[in-house]
Amino acid sequence: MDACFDILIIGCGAAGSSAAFAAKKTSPALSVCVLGSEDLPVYSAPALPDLLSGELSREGVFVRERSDYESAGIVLRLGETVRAIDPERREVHLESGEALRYGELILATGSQPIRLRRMQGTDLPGNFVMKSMADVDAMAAYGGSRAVVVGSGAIGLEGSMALKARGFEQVTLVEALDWLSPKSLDKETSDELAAVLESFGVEVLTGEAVQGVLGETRVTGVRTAKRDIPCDLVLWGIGMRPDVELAKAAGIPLGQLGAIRVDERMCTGLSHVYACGDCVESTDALTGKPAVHLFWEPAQRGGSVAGANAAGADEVYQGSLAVFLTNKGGLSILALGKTAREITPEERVILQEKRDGVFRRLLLEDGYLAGVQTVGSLADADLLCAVLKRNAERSNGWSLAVPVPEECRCSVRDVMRFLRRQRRG
Amino acid sequence: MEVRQQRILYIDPARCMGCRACETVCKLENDLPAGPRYTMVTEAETGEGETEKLNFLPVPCQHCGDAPCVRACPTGALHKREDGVVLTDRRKCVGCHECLWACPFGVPQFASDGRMSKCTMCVHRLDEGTLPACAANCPAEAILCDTVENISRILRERYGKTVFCGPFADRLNGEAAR
Amino acid sequence: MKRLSFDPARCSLCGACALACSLSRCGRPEPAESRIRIECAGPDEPLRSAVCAHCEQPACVSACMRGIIEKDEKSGLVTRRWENCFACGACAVYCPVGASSQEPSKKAFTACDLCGGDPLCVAVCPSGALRFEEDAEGSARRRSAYAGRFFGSGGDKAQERPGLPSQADWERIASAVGGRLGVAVDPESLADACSRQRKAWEEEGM
Repeated sequence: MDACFDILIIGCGAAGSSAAFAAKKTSPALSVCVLGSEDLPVYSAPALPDLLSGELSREGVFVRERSDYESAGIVLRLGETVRAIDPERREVHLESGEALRYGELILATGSQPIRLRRMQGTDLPGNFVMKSMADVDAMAAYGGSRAVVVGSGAIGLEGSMALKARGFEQVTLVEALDWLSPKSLDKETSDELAAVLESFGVEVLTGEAVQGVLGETRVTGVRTAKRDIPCDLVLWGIGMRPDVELAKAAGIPLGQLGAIRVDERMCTGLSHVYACGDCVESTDALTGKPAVHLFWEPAQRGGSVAGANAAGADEVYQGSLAVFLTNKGGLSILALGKTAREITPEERVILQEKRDGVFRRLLLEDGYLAGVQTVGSLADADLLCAVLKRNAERSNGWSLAVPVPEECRCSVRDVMRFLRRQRRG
Repeated sequence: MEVRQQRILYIDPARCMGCRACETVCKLENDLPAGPRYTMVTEAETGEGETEKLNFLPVPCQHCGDAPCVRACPTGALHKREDGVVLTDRRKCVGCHECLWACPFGVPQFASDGRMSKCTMCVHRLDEGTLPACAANCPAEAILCDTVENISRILRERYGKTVFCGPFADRLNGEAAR
Repeated sequence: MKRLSFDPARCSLCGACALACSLSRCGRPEPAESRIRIECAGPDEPLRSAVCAHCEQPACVSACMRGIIEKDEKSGLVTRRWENCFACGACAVYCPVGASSQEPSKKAFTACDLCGGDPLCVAVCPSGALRFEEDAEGSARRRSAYAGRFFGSGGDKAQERPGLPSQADWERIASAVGGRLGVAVDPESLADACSRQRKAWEEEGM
């Protein structure tokens, strides 16, 4: 007879694990099983750059131990790959041939780094991504002293800093678009950031698309539109893609952005199937539009909502903000909400200042704070984040009543003071 | 909606005799467990000797015009409805207690689930066209629930007779009583 | 559970809470490193405290990228194994009340742990603005204070900011802090440090 679990969770990352613990907490009598493809309990992917730089030990990266699952009464099966889901018969088929039956299924399959497989040289030894602990181990074992980091999202930025901290002599960050982290930052902020990176010895090249990886038997360089950069290894940080293969094959409806569409209770379009984490498309708390936020907090929170609801609760996931946060090794960047391009020029007011080494850029839309970008400090981050969350609902938001467009004379300081006063109730 | 037309709970302390019927019906109506009290009859002593007196003041949510709790709530769980009622969306509440620190009247309550709840002006009854439980059941008619302008009218009718003072008070009050 | 309750109307912005906190938790009189902060937007503006509220649905718990912040079901406390913190700052960004503060070493973020059940800030608060009480207690006290104001009885008429601590208050504060730390604390230097803190808070809000 096949094993049967009340709640079966595919994926043992942040979302899957928090779903398991939330389910057990909601209804301790239910049997809960977590399947993980890696042979490791949940660890912090955002901490991987610190593992690479040597700042954190291997143990320091784990969030939970195997024994934590055990003592909570959760069955943990690691190193198991799922071959298919049969939603009709409520079964999950493992690569080993075993079938597991479920009462409720939670998909937390996460995301996969995007790889340019067709580009020349990307299959050579020396090409790395940074998604799992195995990736970091491989990179650490490979060695070298010159690295090219492609892409300037969180992986690219933190990866290049980590490689520098690890002792690489030359680290070159290459971004194909015109400035760094263009999805999250405006050009002005990106320039500030580039200056910080350069002060740490990272060379920044923007507007240069990578055309190929050079080398015969292993990576010896990277060719961009403008030059050849000799290097020992390439770290690819060009983006992540929700891992929806299993869901797609099982006929679970995907959203317009290509991830699993979930409602506010984290239910998918199929009954008895929930989803959470990097593989889902939820709602942007600020714009109300579908969004895929590949970030720790939405995974963790969405996971606990999915887990609790699968166990019979009625929790609601309120959507998440677009957050870009890096605060390590002297590099401190925070971007929340919209960028300038996402706000129509007629409604947009941009305030910017640099004071005591802290760069701050506030974007107002129709008199409401809609975006924040800071470099150099996380001071007042809580206030700005709270304001953005509240402003999601205009009727309840903190209007700054700033005249639009540019004739306004107020400064970043004025706005901060206003917001502080508002918060005081 | 104009402020005049917004609903308020008006408390007439001169009429409250401290029977606590409002507390009881409120608990029943809102099915409240031990702990949270949406309204509470508070006592205050005034005067000395012959003028010493125990006063009673029921304190439900004041449904403030510019409610400090609504402003203070970082998650936007509180909002003021068009008709003036201040309501909590408990699903958005994280239990940070900012509303309690901001409220001058100590109104926000926290049940065992740790999320905030408070007097809703019995919005479910209002929406059905009936009065909040406290107002409907106050034997002394010390709790009124109506729009600001109606309350003003009711109070004028209630006290118009006796509000005159000064040298012609007796005559004027006599006329008003006729 | 008992929690820190802040009454903005009673706070004199004296800064004793923050100074005591930094002395006992960071080991030096540096209120900027305190786990409690009073925010001030101007002379007549209401005040706000920024200190961990031990929320029921703590945003920091799901934000923490190291999984070291937990909500303890029994005690209700939000606890941090902050020795393992790697200072990603997510708790500070997501905290709805602004309670996460960075350790002097900048290697970790911390927040108020209620001094294990006997908060020093409450013990030193000279005006009763900070209390350690159950929600119901705090609510009833506030309601009574309102009734007192309403009928013009009771001493809680004042809605303006209370005066700064007297010399005697400072001596009492110094002995409370000294008692906790087991060292002698000079009331005058304490008052001086607090007044610097007060200025910084006022300027921050200006």
